[in-house]
Amino acid sequence: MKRLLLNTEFKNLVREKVTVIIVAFSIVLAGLAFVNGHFFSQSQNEVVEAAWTSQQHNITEAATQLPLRLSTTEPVQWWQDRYDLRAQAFYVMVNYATKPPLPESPIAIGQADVLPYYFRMLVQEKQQVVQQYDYVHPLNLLLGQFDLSFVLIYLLPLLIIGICFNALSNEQHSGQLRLFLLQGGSAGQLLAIQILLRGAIVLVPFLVFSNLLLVLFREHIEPRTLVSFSLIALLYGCFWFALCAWVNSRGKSAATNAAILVTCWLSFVVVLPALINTFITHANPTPSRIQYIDSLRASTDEAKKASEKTLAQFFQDHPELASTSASGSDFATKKIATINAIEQAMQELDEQYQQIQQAQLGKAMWLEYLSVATLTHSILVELSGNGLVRHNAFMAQVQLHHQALQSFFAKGIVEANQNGDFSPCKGCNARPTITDLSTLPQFDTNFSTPSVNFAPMLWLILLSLLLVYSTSRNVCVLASPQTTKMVV
Amino acid sequence: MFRETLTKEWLDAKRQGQLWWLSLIASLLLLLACTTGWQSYQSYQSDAKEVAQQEQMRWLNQGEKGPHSAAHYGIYVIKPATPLVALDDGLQEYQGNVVRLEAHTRNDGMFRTVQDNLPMARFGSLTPAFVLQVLLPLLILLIGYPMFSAEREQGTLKQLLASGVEPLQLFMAKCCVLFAISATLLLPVIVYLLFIQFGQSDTAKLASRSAGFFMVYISYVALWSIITIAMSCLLKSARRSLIALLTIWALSTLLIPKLAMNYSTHVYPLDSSQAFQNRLKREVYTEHREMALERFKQSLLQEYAVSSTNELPFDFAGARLQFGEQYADAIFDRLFGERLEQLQSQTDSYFLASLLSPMIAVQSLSMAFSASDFHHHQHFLAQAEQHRRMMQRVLNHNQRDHAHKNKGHYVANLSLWQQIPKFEYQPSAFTDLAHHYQVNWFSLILWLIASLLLGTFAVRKLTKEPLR
Amino acid sequence: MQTQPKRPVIQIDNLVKTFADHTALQGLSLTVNQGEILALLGPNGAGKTTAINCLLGFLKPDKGCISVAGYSPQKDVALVRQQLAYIPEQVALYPRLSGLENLAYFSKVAKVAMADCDFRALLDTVSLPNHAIDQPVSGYSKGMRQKVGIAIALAKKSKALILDEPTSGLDPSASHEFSQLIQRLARQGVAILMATHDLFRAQEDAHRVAIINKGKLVETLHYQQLQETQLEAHYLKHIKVGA
Repeated sequence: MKRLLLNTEFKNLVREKVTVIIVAFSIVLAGLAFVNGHFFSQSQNEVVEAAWTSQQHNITEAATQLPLRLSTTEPVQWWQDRYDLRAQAFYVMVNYATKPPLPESPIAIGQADVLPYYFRMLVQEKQQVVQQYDYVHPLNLLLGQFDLSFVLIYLLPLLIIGICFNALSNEQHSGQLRLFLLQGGSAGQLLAIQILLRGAIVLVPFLVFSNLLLVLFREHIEPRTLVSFSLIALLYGCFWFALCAWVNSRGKSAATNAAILVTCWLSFVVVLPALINTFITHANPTPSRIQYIDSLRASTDEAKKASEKTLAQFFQDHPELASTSASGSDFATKKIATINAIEQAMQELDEQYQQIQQAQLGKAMWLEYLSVATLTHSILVELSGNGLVRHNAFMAQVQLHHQALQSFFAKGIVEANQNGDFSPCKGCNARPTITDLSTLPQFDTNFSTPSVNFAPMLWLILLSLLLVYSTSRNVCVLASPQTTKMVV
Repeated sequence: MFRETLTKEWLDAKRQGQLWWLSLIASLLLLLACTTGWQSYQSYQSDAKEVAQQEQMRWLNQGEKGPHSAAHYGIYVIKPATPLVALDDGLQEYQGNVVRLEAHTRNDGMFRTVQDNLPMARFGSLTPAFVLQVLLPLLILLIGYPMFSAEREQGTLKQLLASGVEPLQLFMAKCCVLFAISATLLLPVIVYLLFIQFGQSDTAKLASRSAGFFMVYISYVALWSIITIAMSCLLKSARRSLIALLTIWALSTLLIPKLAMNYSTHVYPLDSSQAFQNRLKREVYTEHREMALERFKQSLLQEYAVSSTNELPFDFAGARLQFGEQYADAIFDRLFGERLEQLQSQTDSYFLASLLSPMIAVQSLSMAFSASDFHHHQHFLAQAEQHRRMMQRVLNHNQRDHAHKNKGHYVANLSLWQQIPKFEYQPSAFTDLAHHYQVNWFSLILWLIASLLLGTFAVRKLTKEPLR
Repeated sequence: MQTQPKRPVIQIDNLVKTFADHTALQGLSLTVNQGEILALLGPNGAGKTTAINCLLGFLKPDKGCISVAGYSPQKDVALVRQQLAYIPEQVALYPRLSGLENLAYFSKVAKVAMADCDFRALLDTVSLPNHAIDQPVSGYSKGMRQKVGIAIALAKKSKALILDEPTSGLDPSASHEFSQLIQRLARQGVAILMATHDLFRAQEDAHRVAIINKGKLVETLHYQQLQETQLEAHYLKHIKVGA
């Protein structure tokens, strides 16, 4: 029986022009979204690779040009001298912290176009480091990226609705359902087959094509990731199939079904996420960045004004350096001490930002269950490595790297100062204090990222099951004798 | 006759249960959006005002120091917002609204709000602009899609036309009713626009911006009302008209804007900030610069007929700094200009897509009137850069003119800091930037004309209705 | 021309159905025997369609008993539906499928195991033009759709056939052809209940005519009586009395 229904429904669909249009749309959208996501990730990859290349190039170039520097008698400005620790620390260092896009990045670009993915490291306040960003057209950020997650979350449900809104209602209102039931057919089976087949017509081309493109063009993509992506897409699709089935099972006209389904789509995909977002940002407002700048400015002034006190505090915090320090403190040590003081002064405010973000995340974690779209989006974004989880892990690693660099330079500068390397004699050049740039701490791109939590998808399964249960009840009613009014 | 038809249409619409629910939900969303928009605007403005004041105090009270130290100390300037930002915050969150003005460097805006947001924020926030541009057309089509097609299905349309009702009058009556209902939803916006006219310093500018803002949205409502009624009239069933209208809506508000912008960024790519910064450094700090500085030195020595810079009647370091600034400024102008050109091309290419989507035209004009778009931001950045250059010039000239008179390290004081006026950004009059939005105006008018043509076509079909 | 009635296939006894605002059936009782054609006559709103819907198991009666080949739609709706076939005024078929495909589909849903050639033969039996068999149903006339409907009923080999205004809107020749077909079915032993307004067809085809008004059976006329009396006069008399 199932096969018969499947065959007939398939024949019916194949003979409808709109089916071809929908399949074509599904494939074209998958292709466009992949291409856009792929180019985006590729451009990020190029930047990361360029950073890595220039860092390596700088190391090799410094090694080759060292003899020349050692033999020069020309005056060398210390702030331009790549063999001077101070210049490296504050001005000329080519040292990058990068977050290379993952092979699965085109799936959901998420915040990847907004959040910084590389930092040129210098010994300066981390507040100055982390505010770097890649300049893109703000309109591009406002409108967002046309990626696979956008197609899956926004457009595929519309296509599913477009092809499923009249699944049973068409038969019901044209009278075939009456004949079908009289012939002993099961309305539940008919509806299930109609919805699944129609849903598959939308979802399967999208999944097949997008997976194919991911395999062909994204090297090193793991099969596990493809399976996860496909499963998430299937579960999300299943929710919409179940919703379509449920709306159809209520026995209303096709136009009413379409209006109900579109309202559901609008609520889940457009209005609820915007409302949740507005609620979160108003319940836990992020402190003003304008005020942050004000505090940063005030702290900088304070630290600079009290530079001697700041230096004393710095040596108190770093006794290992104080023991080796020369009696006089040079500009560089003072600068590092000031940087430390500013960072310490800003720590409270930085933590406040983190706490607010945690509070917002905490709220988002629960509120995203209100909309299947937000739930799916957050999992897809994390799966593709463009979410906050990986970004926070990256930022933590950046901070560690920043500290490592600061300690490296603080120690080196104090020692060089003690040895008199910066002014070996009056009017002569400083001695090279760093000859091998590969000894500089390098950023470890293999920072560990917590694995993606797929548990929220259970909510989708539960919702779908509830809808299926309610649909089966509605369909039973549809097929059984009515007491009040005719529905078939 | 028209009056009777109008009354009947109004009664019919009034008795539709869904109309009230949809209108109520839309009104509540719009009110909520207006309230949160107003709150955000107020808090942004008060922060901006307070911090700008603090920054000015800091500048004045920086104590005695060398003018060049003061140039490095610099100042942060903040882009103020117009009250219309409460209705359409446009790109406000997506571009840094604070710029550091300092020696030797031209900075981009800092701290984009969007960087602090959760990924969920990319679904969009509930702002009045979002409600007006995305949800309002949907509401119009949900109310209007059955206006003709349902009558056709019930058979009352044929009866009505057979009884001698003028098709044009019937069409216009339905359009008027739908337009009136939808325009009513603009009421909170109108109230807000009137409210902000009081207590503002530059009322004339704001009034013209408000009027333009209102015009754009009223045209948008009219456009969607006509399209909805025309489609309802042209298509055979309510189902078909609903699907066709939803497709137009999805294409216009979801698909085309995103695709158009993504396409524009592919066609006119930008260098990464890393590449851009490297290029700036590479092109500013070159041997050519050293040679230019040397030439400058020689020309001064020659002009003043002296053999050493110490013999010049002014401080050479100050003059050299200013020369260096001007040298760098020329390169900044070229490189930032090239980047701006790419960004303009991206914007223009996106604006061109307004021929395909009326939402793009409305969105662009709305952001333009509320001074929260790309062009207004560039205007702010340009003014900030002018201010930076003026600052550097005053400070360097002060060093040039006074440093040589002092023995030892020259320090300036409050009197010099006071010579730098406070940065007061005034958004330009809309007319000054209006040329950027010609395509959007053209598209909006074209869409209105196209909708009227569609309406005319629908009326012609309606004339033949009893024969169908 | 008619065969003798045999044992009852459709039995309706004291059927009552009330909706919120009116009573559609007020103790209707009817019987249709094997091989018998019963025409159900009545004005609009008399309760004909409600009675049919109760028989088909789409409506639950408030009171009374229904039996189709011994099964009750209230209890064994699936078994009842196995026993009967139904042809409405407008036979609902899938417009994009051909007549043959529709017949095959609906027959297979009813678990009728037949080969493709058997389905063709059936369509031939109901005189569906050969050229139309493989054409999409969207191009069929109403009469052609009715023929496919009968073919579906034939394939099912049902014991009862229920017709709701089957000849309404058919031209006289199509109507005649249709009546030939149902008479053939009756001769094969199928019990046929035909709700109609067409007094001529009722007089021509039916073994008995049941006139109902306001949900009640007001008179039953036998074949013999039909030949003798003016059906129209009877009908109008009852309707006027009822009004």
